[in-house]
Amino acid sequence: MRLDLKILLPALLSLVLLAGIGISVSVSLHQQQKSLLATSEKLLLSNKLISGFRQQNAAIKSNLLLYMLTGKSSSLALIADANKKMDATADEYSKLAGNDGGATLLREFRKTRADIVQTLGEMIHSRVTNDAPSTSRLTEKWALQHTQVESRLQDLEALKATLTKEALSEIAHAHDHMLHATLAGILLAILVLTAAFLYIRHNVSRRLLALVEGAKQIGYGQLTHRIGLAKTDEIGMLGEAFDNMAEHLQTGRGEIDARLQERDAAIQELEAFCYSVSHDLRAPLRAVDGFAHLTARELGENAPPKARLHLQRVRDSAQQMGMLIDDLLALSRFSRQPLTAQNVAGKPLVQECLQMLGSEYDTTQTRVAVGEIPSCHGDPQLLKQVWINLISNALKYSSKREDSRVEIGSLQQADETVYFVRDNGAGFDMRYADKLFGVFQRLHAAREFPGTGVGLAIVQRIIKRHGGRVWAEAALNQGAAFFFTVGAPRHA
Amino acid sequence: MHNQSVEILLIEDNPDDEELALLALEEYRPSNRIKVLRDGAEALDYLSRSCEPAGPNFTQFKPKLILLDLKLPKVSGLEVLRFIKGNAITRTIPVVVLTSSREDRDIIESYDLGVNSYIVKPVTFEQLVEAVRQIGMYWLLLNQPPAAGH
Repeated sequence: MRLDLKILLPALLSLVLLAGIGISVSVSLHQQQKSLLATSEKLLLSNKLISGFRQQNAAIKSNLLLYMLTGKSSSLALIADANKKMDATADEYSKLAGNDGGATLLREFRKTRADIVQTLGEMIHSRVTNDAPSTSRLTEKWALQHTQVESRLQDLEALKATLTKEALSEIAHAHDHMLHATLAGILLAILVLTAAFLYIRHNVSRRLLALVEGAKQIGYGQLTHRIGLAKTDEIGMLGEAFDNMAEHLQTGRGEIDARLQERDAAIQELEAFCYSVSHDLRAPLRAVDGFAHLTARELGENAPPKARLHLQRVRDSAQQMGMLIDDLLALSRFSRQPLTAQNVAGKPLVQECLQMLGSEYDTTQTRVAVGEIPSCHGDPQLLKQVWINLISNALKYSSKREDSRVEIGSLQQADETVYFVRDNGAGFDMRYADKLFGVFQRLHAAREFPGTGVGLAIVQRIIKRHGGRVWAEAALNQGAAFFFTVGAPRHA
Repeated sequence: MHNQSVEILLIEDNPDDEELALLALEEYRPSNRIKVLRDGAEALDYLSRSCEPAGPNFTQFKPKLILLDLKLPKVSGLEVLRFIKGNAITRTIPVVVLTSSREDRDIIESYDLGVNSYIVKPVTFEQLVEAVRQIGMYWLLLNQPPAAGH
């Protein structure tokens, strides 16, 4: 079931319950009002009728006494009128009376009334005939019956009071019933809402906590973690989306791990290869050089000059190949060697390089000017190799000039430092500038300037690993300038 | 007997390098008494037999210098070095590693194991002769080893 339904259903149920309670309360109140009205109407009517009976009865009594004393016929007419009214009232009352004992009482009342009317007739007759003894006896009889009528009226009155009391107590009972039902309904609604609230809180918060925990675990890299919620609502769907994400991440990471392992294996293979190259390729070169040397010696002074020259060529080639192997291994080493970045002072590093190169090049002939060399952040060992390669190139390619000059310094461009090494030597044609930093790429003949063509490749490799740039500006026979930046060190 | 004892122990598997090394040694001083061992297993076998008092080589065993190549068949030069520097009798013999490898890990491990000197074999014969001459000069003449019996 969806989450909004889970919330909506109990709310609706409670609402329906409350609406039902409202309707039944109003219906019940209406009925109570109606029955209260009916009861009071009945009470009023019955009061009116009973007082009517009493009035007629009193009128009959007084007119009868008047007639008996005076014998006036007008009294007789009044008596007849009162009797008629009495019957009419009784008819009216009979409509009111139900099965509640009122009808029985009325019948008895009518019977008593019929008796007294007969006695009345006899009394009037005895008065007409002047039959005094009869009159006296009948009068006594009438008085008795009259008391009976009064008593019947009292009975009717008592019945009326009882009925009214019963009706009122019924209404009160209905009222109580309604109150209880309302209370029970409201309690039920509260119960439903509370149960729904508790269920949702437990159900939702438990699963939300599971989601939070899962997100944490996955965030920490525990990609095997699964939240595992049933997909019954939005939270479950979110949980499933999380699980799917973790699944994909896990698969992806597995692939990356596999790739990394492959890469590590390839690097190890490369290292083994380099090690093997350094050992295995140099050994035969030593033999070539050594035995060529020994052969030349064994041939002695009398050997044909060409043979000696060719043996020398063999030795030169072996030595050149030895240098190539050494430089290639250096390139590989500078590419692999981990960067240990620190603050590197510029000027002392350059001075150290010049000192080292002093034994190889005649630096007394060349004017070397060292300008500002700001410090930078990088690997001192690798940066030293950069300076050595660039400065030795400058010394080498300017060595054939009389007034050879080498300038080492820096420029501030934008917000970065550009280091440079400039010479006034052989230079090169800028058309070939893109070949400058390639391995084994040379722009000068080995005969003119010896070298293997690896030095600038090493420079570029090291500068790239530091996140910097290296470039050159030159003109043929007018010197060359090499520029580089060090940039932010990257982890290779 | 003393004249028969080995002065220099050369442990080298490459016949070319062996011959060049012998020629270089000869050039430096023709009268060397040199024993050549051609792989790591042979070297370990020879060294361990020489260290037993009842062994066949014991009396004539006490070379003044061991020249050791690292890349050897069967047992590596580093294992041989470990044996030499881990054994009380051979520990004091100077060991010079003479190898093609200039790999940092070889250099560092050799020094960790107690090598006395680490030389990368030069490519040219002249440089080899010069290197061997300097090694011989230093370890056989200049250097003072402990007195015999220690």
